[in-house]
Amino acid sequence: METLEAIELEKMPISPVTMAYAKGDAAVILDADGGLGSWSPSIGYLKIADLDSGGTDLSVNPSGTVAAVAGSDGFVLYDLVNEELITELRGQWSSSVAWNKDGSIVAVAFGKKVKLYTIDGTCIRTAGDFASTVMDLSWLPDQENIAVASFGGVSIMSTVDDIEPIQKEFVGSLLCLAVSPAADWIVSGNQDCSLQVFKIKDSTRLEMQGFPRKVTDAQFDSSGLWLANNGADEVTVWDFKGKGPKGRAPRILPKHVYGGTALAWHPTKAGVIATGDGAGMVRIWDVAKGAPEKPMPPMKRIKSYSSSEVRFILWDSTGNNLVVCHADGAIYQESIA
Amino acid sequence: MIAVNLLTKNPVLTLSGINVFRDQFCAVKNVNLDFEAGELVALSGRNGAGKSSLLLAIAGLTNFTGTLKFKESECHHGHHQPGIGYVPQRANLRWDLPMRAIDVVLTGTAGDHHLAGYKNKSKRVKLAWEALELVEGSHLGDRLLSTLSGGQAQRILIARSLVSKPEVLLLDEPLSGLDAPSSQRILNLLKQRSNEGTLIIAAMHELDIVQGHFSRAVLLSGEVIADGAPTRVIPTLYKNPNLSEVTV
Repeated sequence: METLEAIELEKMPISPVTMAYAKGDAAVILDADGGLGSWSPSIGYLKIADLDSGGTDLSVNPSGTVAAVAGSDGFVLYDLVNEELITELRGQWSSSVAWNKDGSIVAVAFGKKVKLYTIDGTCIRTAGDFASTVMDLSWLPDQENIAVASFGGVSIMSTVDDIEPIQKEFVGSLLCLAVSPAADWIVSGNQDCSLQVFKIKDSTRLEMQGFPRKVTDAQFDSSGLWLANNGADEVTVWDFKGKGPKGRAPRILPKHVYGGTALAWHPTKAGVIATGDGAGMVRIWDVAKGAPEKPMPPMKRIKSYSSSEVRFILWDSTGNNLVVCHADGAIYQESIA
Repeated sequence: MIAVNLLTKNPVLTLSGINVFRDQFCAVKNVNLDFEAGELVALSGRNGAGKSSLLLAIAGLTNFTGTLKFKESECHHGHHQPGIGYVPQRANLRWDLPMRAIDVVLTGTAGDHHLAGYKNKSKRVKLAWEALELVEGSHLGDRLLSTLSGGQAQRILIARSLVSKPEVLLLDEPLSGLDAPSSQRILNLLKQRSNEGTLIIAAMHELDIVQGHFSRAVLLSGEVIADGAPTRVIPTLYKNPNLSEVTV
């Protein structure tokens, strides 16, 4: 059995929810109380702002200057350079925020609606009256359409035309979304412990029922050939090559205590993924080297500095460094040779 | 004779040949189950398996055929049985109504004719606050619904069902949308009620939680396909994961 080589580390005085890279090597961190902070290996943690809303999601624009923050009491757009509020909208639960590729527009889940804001804080569109609170949203690669997860399935809504959204129906509550880089598949993790896979161009739907836990995270790698999801003590990786994963047994990444709590694909190397678990373990895997159905060994184990749940893993853009953030506030960067 | 009596099951709830209908459609058929006081039972199965429909039938809120007995009393559609409490799915309710949490809990007394009338108002209010206390929610009483978190809202709904001191508590996906600490709090609460003799029946998706916390699991797929200890009953679907095509 693997043992944890935990070394005492100075911890952030917060319960981190998520993080994203801003400028340079600084990461922006959102905590459960809606606090926004920055962390870098050289300086450590610095509080930037208290946004007075339980934090749920964070997205930083590609240039690293503006943070969009979702929370239990709405949405906030925050200027990270001048450290000032750009705009805010309160009064509804907001679960998800996502910048488009060029950073000109941020999509915001706001209650049962989706709102689009420009970087200067102007709301340019409000769309949808979905069946439930929007749980997740993701831009499609064309940067004109957004996939929206709510009760009853995925809606693909246009951000430029006033047309009815395309519906991918599934009776259940969706928790997370992943869109393949080639825009051929949309995958949802669901409250009923299932994974649903929708083909965008037709009505094909695949499903895997029976995960022991809710599937709260599903991600495609940069090539779109692999999809990883949590929901079990193992992390499951599906092979999306060619016609897709139907009938193909997945790769199994074993020994995740309390499940895979954090997944992060390498930014450039196809099939390389870092995973963290509920006991603080972080490992790196090369799924292309594994065989279907057989539990595979990790490519590398990262020395852990905490035995608390791994909350988030972040690769830098080069893929040479990995920042690991634990639920107890422990945070550190590892160089991946 | 004492030994015989001890060995004899004394079900608090008996379902015999139950068929549950939703909009003329038979959602669950031929259910035969006995439940005893203090059991902590999970109804599991995929979406559309009939979990919610069966709970609604036991609560008297949807049409069914067959015989459903709460202790010695036969239950019927449309007749609220005071000894049975029902906690609906949180997502199905209007949380933007301008009501305080205590007002919601108070509505749990509405079906009890012993508490009806103006004279009993203070008694109803007292019971509502006591129910809030049971779920460690006294501090939430004066809060507007719209300001409650998911876990707090779920506790308010459970408090509402506890006002009438039910012997059977039905819950439809009580952990839906809750984070781990909130889920644990709800599970602790259910275990506590179960230890005090309340029969708990909950529709559950989280199979690992069912295995770790529940005393019995009933698997549904339009009918009962398995019933027993969770470690034996929960299917090992994940042992052979596979993405299968769904015909729409």
